[in-house]
Amino acid sequence: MYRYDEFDHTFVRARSQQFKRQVERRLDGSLSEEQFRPLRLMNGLYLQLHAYMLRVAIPYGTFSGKQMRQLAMIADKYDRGYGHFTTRQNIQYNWPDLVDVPAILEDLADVEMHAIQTSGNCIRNTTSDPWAGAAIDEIEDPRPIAELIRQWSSLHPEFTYLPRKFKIAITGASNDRAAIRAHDIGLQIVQNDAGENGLQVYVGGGLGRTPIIGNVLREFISRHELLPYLEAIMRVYNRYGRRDNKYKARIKILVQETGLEKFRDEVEAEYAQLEPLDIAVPQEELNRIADYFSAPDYDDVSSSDEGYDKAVILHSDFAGWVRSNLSEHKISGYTIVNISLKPLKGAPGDISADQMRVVADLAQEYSFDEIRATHEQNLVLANVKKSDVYALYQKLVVAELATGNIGLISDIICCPGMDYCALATARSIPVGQAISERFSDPERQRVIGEMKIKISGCINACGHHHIGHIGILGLEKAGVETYQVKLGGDATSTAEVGKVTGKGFSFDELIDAIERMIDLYLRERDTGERFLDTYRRIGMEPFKGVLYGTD
Amino acid sequence: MVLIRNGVELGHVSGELPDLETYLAGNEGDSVLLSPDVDLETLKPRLSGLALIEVSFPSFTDGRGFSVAKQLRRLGYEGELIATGPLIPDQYLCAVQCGFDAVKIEQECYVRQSEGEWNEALHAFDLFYQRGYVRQNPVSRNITEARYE
Ligand code: SF4
Repeated sequence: MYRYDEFDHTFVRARSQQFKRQVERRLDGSLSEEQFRPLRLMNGLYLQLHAYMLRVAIPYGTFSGKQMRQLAMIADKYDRGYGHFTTRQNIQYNWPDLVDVPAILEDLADVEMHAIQTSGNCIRNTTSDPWAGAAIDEIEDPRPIAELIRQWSSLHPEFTYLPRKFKIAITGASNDRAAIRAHDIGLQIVQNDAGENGLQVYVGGGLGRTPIIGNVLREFISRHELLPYLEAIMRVYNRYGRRDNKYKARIKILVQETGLEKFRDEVEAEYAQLEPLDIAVPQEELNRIADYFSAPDYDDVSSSDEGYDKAVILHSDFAGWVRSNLSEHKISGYTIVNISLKPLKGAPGDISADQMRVVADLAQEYSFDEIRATHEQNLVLANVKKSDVYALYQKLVVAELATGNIGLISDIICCPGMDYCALATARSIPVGQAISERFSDPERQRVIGEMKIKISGCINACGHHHIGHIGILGLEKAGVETYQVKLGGDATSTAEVGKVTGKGFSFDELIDAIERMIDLYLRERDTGERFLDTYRRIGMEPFKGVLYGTD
Repeated sequence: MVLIRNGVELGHVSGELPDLETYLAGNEGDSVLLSPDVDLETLKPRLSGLALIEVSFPSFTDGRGFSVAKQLRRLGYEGELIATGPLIPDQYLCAVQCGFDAVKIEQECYVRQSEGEWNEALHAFDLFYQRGYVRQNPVSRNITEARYE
């Protein structure tokens, strides 16, 4: 993974120093709260329902055991002994004191981490495929380009006071695990006819109040031209994006109101006036970054491992976990281990400091000291030898991290909702917990198969409910929580925004309603069909029937 | 209004520059005040006759002016370029990097923050990741270029 050189170190220290002074100036009154607000947001500091919340960046979701241990230390020292992984591959702390934040930033800088642009109207952490470098369907590891974008977007002098937040995601695989079309800019590594790898650029995707799936802005741009091209997009957005209404300020609205063709013309016109060579980094810099992501030293191991196969036969709990939590690795004899942060009764994405240290140890021992955070709020050890998996599993069991539900109905994405968030109109974590409880039988979960439930506690859609196979939106109607249900959302290469089923449900009705839909699906499905496939085949009506009793 | 250049307060300035329409209507004058939604195409033919341009910032969170400055410099404008509005010291560097020479702020904004803070802000960073935004005074370096020096 990427390591800071002296310049990166100096830069991050200078940033943390700057923020320290900003806090001091807020406290002595030279900055008003109104002036301080965007400054603290740009450094990941939110005011939540009960306290400040600090969001720490995990660039493209890749970090080391050492960094994880430092995150654990911070959780113990400045927070309540836990952290929360977000849908943007970041981690947040829910209870730090404002005066401690500069010290936390120093501690982060010690391990090459920061909170730069994890919030605010600027370019946010670039997210990516959590299986990068290990996935079997990968054309190219997307992380060198993600790191390039991280550097380029850090404290950008021109694009730090944008109309609204700006999110970029990149994938290098044919199956999109980074939801790139739900981002302001989505980048897909593709190969052109000349056999060169470059990027296909999507623009104008986003969730929130107006969910839109991004469209192709450019079929192909070489990696050398990427930064100049991004600069052109950002300049058009910065100048013409709406600033009169916060809810219409994302680039998706600009693209929609301008029209994709005309928007493309504007970007190309701006691009034509740039000097790409003045903006792009030289080849040697691209190489320098890419070298940090070269493949680890894989052992030459056989594809079938006796110990592993035997453990699968002997231990049914292990076998079940293997089925849901392991993914195919590009190197035979290796596997991708997905660690679920969705235990029964837990809050999705939460992890204790002790558990963080366990994951750090496991990464060091079994996976080249590297961890990934996923946008589905889980963790990944991407390079594990099959022969080590059973030993690793047993340690996960002890740490209560062996929930075998990846991709299943209880692997729910969920925003903090009423439990933490000042904007929430309803609870969301308890909804997730109630669903997990209802479907707690692991065998039943496996029978149901792949299922993406996503829950948001208000229309801002941080829980990505628009792109859940089942999406749930918590609203408030006359002082009572009601939950709207959406069906058919999809975040992958066949991306789609889900459709509302009809009127909402009370908290108590909701869980039964979901169960009725699942039962319908199990009755109706053809062999091999996921919930989403069945829904697409039979349509909304039968689901409405079981939901509202109209059949 | 207070003018700050090179981190130094240059005292009060009064008087308003003509807006774009007024400037284009006349044949005289070498200064203009641009709003952040300006269409630079209309100004292009007259650019070489200008010695002073101010770009207004309606609020400090409205970053359009930074792009306007960048585009003006790209069009070859070499005269004085001033950012006018309720900017805060923390944005001073951005302004300078995008091509502004100075900022002009309201007196009531200025009293909260001393000259020292503006000067400090100018020196908060001397290394930047972006190419094409390097400034001369005080000198800053692009990290990529520094890596291969
Ligand atoms: S969706 Fe709403 S409730 Fe949930 S985290 Fe976002 S703003 Fe808060």
